[in-house]
Amino acid sequence: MLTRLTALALVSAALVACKELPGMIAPFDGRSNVDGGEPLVVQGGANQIPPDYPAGDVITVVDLQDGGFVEGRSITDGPDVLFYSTEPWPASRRFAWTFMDPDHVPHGPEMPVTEGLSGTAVFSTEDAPEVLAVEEDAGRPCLVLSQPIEDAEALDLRVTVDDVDVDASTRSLDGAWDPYDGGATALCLDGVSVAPGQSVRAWVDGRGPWRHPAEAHDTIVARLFREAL
Amino acid sequence: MIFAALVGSALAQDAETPAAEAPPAADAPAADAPATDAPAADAPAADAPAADAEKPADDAPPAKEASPGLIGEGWRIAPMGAASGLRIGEEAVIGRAGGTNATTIEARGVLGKNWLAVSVPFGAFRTPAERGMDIGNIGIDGWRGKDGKHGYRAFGLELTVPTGGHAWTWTNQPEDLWPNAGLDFAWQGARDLGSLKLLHRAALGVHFTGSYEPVPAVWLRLNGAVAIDAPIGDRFGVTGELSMQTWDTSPLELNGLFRANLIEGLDARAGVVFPIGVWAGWTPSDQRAGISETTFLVDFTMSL
Repeated sequence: MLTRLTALALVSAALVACKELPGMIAPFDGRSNVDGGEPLVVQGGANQIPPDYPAGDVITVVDLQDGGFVEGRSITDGPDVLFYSTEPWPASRRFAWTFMDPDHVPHGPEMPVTEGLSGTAVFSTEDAPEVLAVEEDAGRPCLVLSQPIEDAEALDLRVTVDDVDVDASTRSLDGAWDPYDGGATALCLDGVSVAPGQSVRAWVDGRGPWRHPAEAHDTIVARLFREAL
Repeated sequence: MIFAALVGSALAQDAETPAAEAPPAADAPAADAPATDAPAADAPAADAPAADAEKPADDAPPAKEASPGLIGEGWRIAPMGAASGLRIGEEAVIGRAGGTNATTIEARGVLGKNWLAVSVPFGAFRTPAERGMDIGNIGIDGWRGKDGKHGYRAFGLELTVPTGGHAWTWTNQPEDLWPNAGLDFAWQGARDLGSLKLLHRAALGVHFTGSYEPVPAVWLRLNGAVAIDAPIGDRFGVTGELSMQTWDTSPLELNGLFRANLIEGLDARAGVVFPIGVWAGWTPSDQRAGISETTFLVDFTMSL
């Protein structure tokens, strides 16, 4: 009986020890049009926090309009850390949120955060797409937008590559761009050429410009989603 | 229920030992401990081989494999001797790095020449958010001891069984509270040094847990301890113990205990653990060197 108990305990412990999940943040850095009730999530942020351990306020949120901390609570859910604000996010506001190493107490777990996951990101509840990055996709530029859009033709767009205006009238949406379906959309300019590193400026609906170098897909994903695989 | 079963077994064992077959041994470790199967020098057992019966008195071994009561114990050195009883103990870590308390309930019972101890600790501890409280791991220790030419010796298997509690903390060693499973093989001994008693222990085991720093997912536990017990009169005594363990959050300790037999069947101990390895900065946890903590100990044992 004791042998069986021991074997069961050892197998359980080994399974717990083997878990290793990728990390990312949601909403991604720069996301706009966030829903009022949406929690902030750090997937994999609790990989080093023991189950049911009260790790404290590991996520803090600042309202960038009035500079105050947003009231809410960080909780762990399996390998993830979530922040729920006490009140829904107010409309047309920008926020900065920070995920940090949990404090640890003597004689307690030390909980180092998975490398790359800690840091500060911003999001807003404004319904106004911004250009967060430019992807070089098979030689064409794709503007990575901060929120989902349904109609590629609906936006008023002006784009330059190395400060030379290009024809931005032929567009297509890259629906498969966002690997986490976190709301990021890539608006690709067909018939326009770009090389990695070239400077791209963009104006959207008269706002801007946003200037970004053309980058590879994985680089952008790693930065916006703070992907930590 | 386990305790009741152990006590029942112990009583049954005692009942099976007729007084006529258990002459007191002259050099038994405890004066009131009857020897059950050892041939005394001048009273050979009826079933002893003839050759043994003809041995001169000087060559006769001391009383062996009896139930001699409690031989001795330190803090890391587990109680030796077949004594049934119930113990409640408290460890309180105080100081800058303090705040962890462990309350342990332990039942011990005799099974023939062996004994079994089952313990359950409960921890109260600090967390970054609020004070926590949870159950630790069940300890199931099985021992077999006997007297020999070089004193008393005991061999034990110490099984650590997680309960599903979340006491992610420790007082000095992580095996008790930090959720883990493990098995240790331990060897202990005791011998008289004049009026003093020398106690020693060596143990080797392996433990498993989730991979949460600073405790590794798997650790090999190598433990050694030596202690001197000095009686003060008939009812009191002091024990000083030096213990080392690796891997451990407190790799080197100096422990001191004062013990008192309060009334017949009720003993108390109080003392301190000086975690000198932690003070020296040898702990694997994120803790600066310095005298940051000390652990106070107290326990009460009711013997049957």
